[in-house]
Amino acid sequence: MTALFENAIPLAALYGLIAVGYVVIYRASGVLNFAHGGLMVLGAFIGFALAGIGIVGIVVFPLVILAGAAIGGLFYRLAMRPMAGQPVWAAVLVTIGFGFFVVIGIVQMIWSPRIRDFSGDLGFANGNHEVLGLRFSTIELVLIASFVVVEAALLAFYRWSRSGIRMRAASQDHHLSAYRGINIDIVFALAWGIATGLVMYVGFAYSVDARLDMGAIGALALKAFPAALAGGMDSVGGVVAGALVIAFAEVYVQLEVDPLLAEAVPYLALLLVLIVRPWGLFGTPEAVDRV
Amino acid sequence: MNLSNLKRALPALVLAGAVVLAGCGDDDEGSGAASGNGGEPYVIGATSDISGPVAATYGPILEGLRVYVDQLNDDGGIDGHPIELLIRDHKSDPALVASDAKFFNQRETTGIFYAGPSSTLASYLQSAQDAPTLYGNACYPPAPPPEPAPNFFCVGVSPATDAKALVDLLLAHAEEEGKAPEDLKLALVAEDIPGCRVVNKDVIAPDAESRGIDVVANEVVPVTVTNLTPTAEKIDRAGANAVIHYCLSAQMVALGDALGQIEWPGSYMAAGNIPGMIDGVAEVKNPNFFAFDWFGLPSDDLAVFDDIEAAAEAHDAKAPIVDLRWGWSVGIVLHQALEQCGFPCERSKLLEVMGALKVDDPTFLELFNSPLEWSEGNHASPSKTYRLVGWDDDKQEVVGTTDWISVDEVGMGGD
Repeated sequence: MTALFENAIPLAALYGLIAVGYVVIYRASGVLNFAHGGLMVLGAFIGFALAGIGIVGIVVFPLVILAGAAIGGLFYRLAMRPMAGQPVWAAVLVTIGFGFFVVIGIVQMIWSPRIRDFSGDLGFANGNHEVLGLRFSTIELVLIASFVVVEAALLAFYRWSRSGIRMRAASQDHHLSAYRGINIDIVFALAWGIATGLVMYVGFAYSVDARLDMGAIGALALKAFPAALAGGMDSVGGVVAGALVIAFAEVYVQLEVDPLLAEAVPYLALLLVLIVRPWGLFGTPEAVDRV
Repeated sequence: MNLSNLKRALPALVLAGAVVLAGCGDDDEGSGAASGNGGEPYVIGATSDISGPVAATYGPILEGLRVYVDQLNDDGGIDGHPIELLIRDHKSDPALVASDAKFFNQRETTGIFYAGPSSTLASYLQSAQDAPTLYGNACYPPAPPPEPAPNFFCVGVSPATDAKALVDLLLAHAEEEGKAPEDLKLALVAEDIPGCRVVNKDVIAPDAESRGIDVVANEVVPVTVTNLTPTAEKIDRAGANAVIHYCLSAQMVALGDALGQIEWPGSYMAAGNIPGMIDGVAEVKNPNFFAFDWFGLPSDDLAVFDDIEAAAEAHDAKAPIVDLRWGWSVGIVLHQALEQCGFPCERSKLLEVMGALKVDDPTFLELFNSPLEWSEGNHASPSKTYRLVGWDDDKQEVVGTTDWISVDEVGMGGD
């Protein structure tokens, strides 16, 4: 039982943070961003490069987030904005091409696909800590705390901030929002910036906790998508439930049944959700049309 | 095209350009041809997983070969003839492996170097036809005895031989710790790759059991697994005090790390000859994490590592020096085979040379630690020396922790 909680809670935080990235972009622009895996890898390598030039870990993390926000905004401006008016699937294809081929290709050309461990370069030890009788590494605790903070901050952002309310309005109806004076370009760029900063941070944090393994990061990004869908593609709060359900199911099967089947659990959950409740646990049925 | 259309198209053009650039990085045709001298080149096809799911394991083997060849060409090639490597990236995709083999056959390359997981082997064999092939992996059939294919050769030994050596080393290590074979509770771990699963189930488990070791678990984990801590927990719960993990470096290192994280007290042994492992052992710094290794190490102060390091620096190798060992060994073997074949080297002549090739020069022995000798009945190394290596906290590097043992090639029974 202890092993289940010790493994599932950090995995839920990982899935949750990545899934929030999917949801933020989807809510704003209706686009499923499959560049997440590539962007997580990019975040890890940027962190790796910054650590390599001697910047201490505590500074590397915010720098990766800032770099991610800038890259996300820039990607929206250069690649997604010109897709306005095009079918959604065309925009989704652009994200796949960008994440899987452009980003990964550039990263491999610069750094090679070698698996790296650079936690020692960050100036702190990723040791174990006992919390409520459960053992977590430092980075796992950081990820769990990050998930809680990001969820709370985003819920507050959407509920009370001017930009958040504009983002919600834009997600309801792009044209009407534009007619009402909302600059939807800024809204979309903000969404892409938030989501990209977030997933690049997660990619870096995961690499510090485990190792910088491009294959593992890519798999993680894909497995987090069912968490977003299970919670509801337009529900930031729903991500918590989606991530917890999928992470606990996956780790339980890995521990008690078969690790090979465990890898399929997120996708089986995805299939189940699509059949039973396509809008997810906390999503809205209207969102299904767009999916 | 008006300005507005141009502006809309510009980002797509930039992305397309980047994709093309990335593609150029993958398929670097003609490495080594430009350097060297004016002689006609030996053209060799070379395909490996350079950017796919197990690139970290197989990419550096090809990179080691490339660096050797580039350096050889800089030094004048083979009697004035450089080696031109046509490099392709198969990403561990059987379809790409097949298309690479066909591509090389269409270009009529003198031979092919192919590195990749066993899951791509059938596809390669079907498409390569009779092309002389140097395989960069553990020597799966049809390289080892009893019936090697006439064109398929391997710089290494069969997984069955590795498996026997692993059990020998496990017993030797246990003896040092004062344990008898019956005190050992062994867990076996492999990724979901046919070659790895078969070695655990059909070779290591029966061999260990026949020598009195209790095999308490046999775990198969996915290649894509992102967290091996639950597997470490299962091993612990099964009561194992020893683990053998024979497969991919990324997962072997990750499990070594996970076992250290849960403070499991047993001995963990993984295959150390493949790229990524020695650095992995150094990164994890788990005193119970051992790798069984065929090759010499930089910590052995071998002169050959100075050569590799110089060549790697001159020819822009991205992999760590220690990961270039296998490819460098392949380079020495290819060099000798082509030298004996002469120029021009027809495929039939090369096969004749490879069928009776013996490589035992001091540089090769320094690195590979045992001579390579192919014969009609064996296209793998006739025997191999092994030892365990591990992290030395005092020296802050990976060092040999046991004496070398020698194991004869046991063959794969024609499976």
